[in-house]
Amino acid sequence: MWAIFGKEILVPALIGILAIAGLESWVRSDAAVDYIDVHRPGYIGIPIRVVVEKQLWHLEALARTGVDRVAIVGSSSVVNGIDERTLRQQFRDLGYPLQPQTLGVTAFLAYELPLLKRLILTSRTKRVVYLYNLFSFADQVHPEAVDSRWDLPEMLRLQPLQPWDTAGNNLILDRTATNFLWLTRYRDLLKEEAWRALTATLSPLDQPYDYPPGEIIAPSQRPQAMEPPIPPGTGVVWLRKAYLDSTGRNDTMGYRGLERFCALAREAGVDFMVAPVVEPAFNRFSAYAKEADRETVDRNVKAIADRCGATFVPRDGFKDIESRDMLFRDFVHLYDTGRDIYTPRLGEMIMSR
Amino acid sequence: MLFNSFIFLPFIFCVFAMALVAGRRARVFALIAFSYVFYSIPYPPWVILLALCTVGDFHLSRWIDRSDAPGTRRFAVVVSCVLNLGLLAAYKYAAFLAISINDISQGLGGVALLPVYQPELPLGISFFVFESLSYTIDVYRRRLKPADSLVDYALFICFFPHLIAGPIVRGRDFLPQIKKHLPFQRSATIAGVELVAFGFFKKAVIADNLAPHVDQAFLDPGSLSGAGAWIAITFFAIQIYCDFSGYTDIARGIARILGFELGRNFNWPYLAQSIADFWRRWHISLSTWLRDYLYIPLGGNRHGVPRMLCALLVTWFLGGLWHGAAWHFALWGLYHGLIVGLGGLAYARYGTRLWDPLPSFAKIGVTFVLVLIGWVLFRANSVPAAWTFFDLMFQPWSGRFLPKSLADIAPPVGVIAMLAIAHFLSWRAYRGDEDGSMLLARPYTARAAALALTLLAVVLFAGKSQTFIYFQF
Repeated sequence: MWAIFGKEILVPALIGILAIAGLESWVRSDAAVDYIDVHRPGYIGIPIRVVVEKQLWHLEALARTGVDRVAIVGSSSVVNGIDERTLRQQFRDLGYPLQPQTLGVTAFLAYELPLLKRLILTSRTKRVVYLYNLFSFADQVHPEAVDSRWDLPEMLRLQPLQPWDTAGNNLILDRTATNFLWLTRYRDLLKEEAWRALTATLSPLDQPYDYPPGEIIAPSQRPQAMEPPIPPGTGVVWLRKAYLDSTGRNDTMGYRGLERFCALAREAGVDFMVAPVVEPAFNRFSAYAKEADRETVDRNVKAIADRCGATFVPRDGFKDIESRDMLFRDFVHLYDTGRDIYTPRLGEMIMSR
Repeated sequence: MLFNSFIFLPFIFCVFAMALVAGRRARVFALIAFSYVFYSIPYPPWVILLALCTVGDFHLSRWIDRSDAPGTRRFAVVVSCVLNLGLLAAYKYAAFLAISINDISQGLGGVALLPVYQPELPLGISFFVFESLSYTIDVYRRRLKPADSLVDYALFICFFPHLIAGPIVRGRDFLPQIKKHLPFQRSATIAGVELVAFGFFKKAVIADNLAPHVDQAFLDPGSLSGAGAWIAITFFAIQIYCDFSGYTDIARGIARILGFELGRNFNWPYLAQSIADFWRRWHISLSTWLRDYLYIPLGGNRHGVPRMLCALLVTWFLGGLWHGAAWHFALWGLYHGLIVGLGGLAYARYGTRLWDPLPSFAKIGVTFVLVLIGWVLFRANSVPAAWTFFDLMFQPWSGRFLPKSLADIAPPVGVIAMLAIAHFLSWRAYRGDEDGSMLLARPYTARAAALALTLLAVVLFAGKSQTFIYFQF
């Protein structure tokens, strides 16, 4: 029995494991990380899971660059709202010693800050600027992001295992596999890249934003009166529902994640700054963000920042941008004209504090 | 616990380690313990139902066997039916019945008459209830001697490979194996590992990669062209086959390695040449169960055509509802029952003249299209949703039938063609016997390489992990 078990099950499994280990180490090499980062796919027409993974892959590539940096963290508002090249030029012109790097990832929530500590708080990170939005502090795990944005010990700290919730605990253990194996963590991205390589469509990323610059905005994107509810099944509904489910609370997983990250940054000697990202004033009419309470969210964040020694920057300094509808392409993202105005203002804010 | 979950790896490692060191009797006890752990993972209190079903039917079957009085025997088997079907009714059908009655009442202008209580459906209840029920009925019919010990009976019901999604095992097939099972026999292990590896491949690489496309199509059929709807339902046909037969392969493979043989559940169903043939090849353990315990007791084909049609339609209606407490499942069952019935009538009237002269590929093609139409009823979330899909599929004259550009459908059609070729090649490789082993006769290096490559492919190309479709039943 032992001989058959060893020969027919263990040996083939070990050969498979060795092949996986070999491929894993190749995928993690600097050359592969850089190549895939340069050739990562765009946004339009790409499945959301691939988008999530390519953004995280970009963070892996950025974490390997040997420069002292200020990491600007946030959701797709950060991906689309900040022009890294303009910011770098601004810092250089004014002699600011750090290099800016935007670490924006789609639908990033505050509880994910400690889960991504390995990628944010590198040895060369000197300052972290976290730009939150109204929906950043939900009390739930985002279903499209968890497999890749995961760190078991930090997750257990935020949400301990429940003895009787065996299904939930099982799910947490399942996600842990992605902690160890990039072949599973970045599986969708690697499949996409392999497909593009096979079909000779692999090309360098032409621009880092989700939406191509120069796009004409539909006037309907800017509601002037209260909109009807968003139909169920629409992607953004999850964020809105997650926010509404925890509205009025200041102890959600999101706030706990922010506080934990703040402590981690302090331990690492990294300066931590928190600020709201700019959001259009017309949001108060939109089906997505109506009823969202900016003041309460800002107050909760400020309280945490004060407690843990982070810098909180109120939204007052950006009110003029928020009131100019034409700078926004939709209820979350800046248009490229908005990005051109917001980026230097953000640069000033970073350098002044 | 899912076969494709992370925790299953240490679990199966422990099971194999136990099987290597334990003696036969200890192994049986340990397998029961492991099976209860396996079942308790989603929600521990469900093991009470499993235990209740096991203990109840074990004692009832012994009572039936001991008694010679027909009345007592009949009473005991009725109690067993009430116990098993009562569990199924309470957890699976009570809410459906209440909602349906309320809908009718409200449709007639009245008010909701019944409260709706909708408990979470315990995993695999439809499977272990059918297994337990068939056992007491077989004992009642004197076709099976009852199990000697509760331990043997408990293993028959709870054996983890078949516990959650079948195949539906019969006592007469499984119980005799308990006393003589031997794990890790050479040919059984090779064939078992092959089943497990290819089962994972079908599930993780094929079914899970198709699932998001199918989900999106049924979530938003308005965005589809007619051709897109046909592609989506073909994707679903491939998904459900790879998902369910993949699960069955893993279950049968693990059982085989442990020294048990579970009945086959699939035999190249999409190569069936008629709908009746399809049901001899698809979910074989369920279709034979329905035949033996429902269709034949209802009269079968022994009492003339009208009675046969009635028996068929009742069997298929209930068979549809077995898959889920919803009208679209019932309609799916009736649809298949109707086609099988019409096929039977045509055969009675015209013999083989009508269908048999057609070339095989034409019969396979027509059968597959009929199966696809049925899958729409199965996959849609409701009857109106299925109708929306049919609207798209069956209006080729509408402006929406053809896609805006052929380039839109070329990749999915390419995927379907590739999978069809792979299916045909594997049919050739297995010589048409889905139960056989392709690797057994190959040299060791080829076997090891094939399994290692399959493991690598599962890690590299798996789709987002999905629950096995048949878990919901």
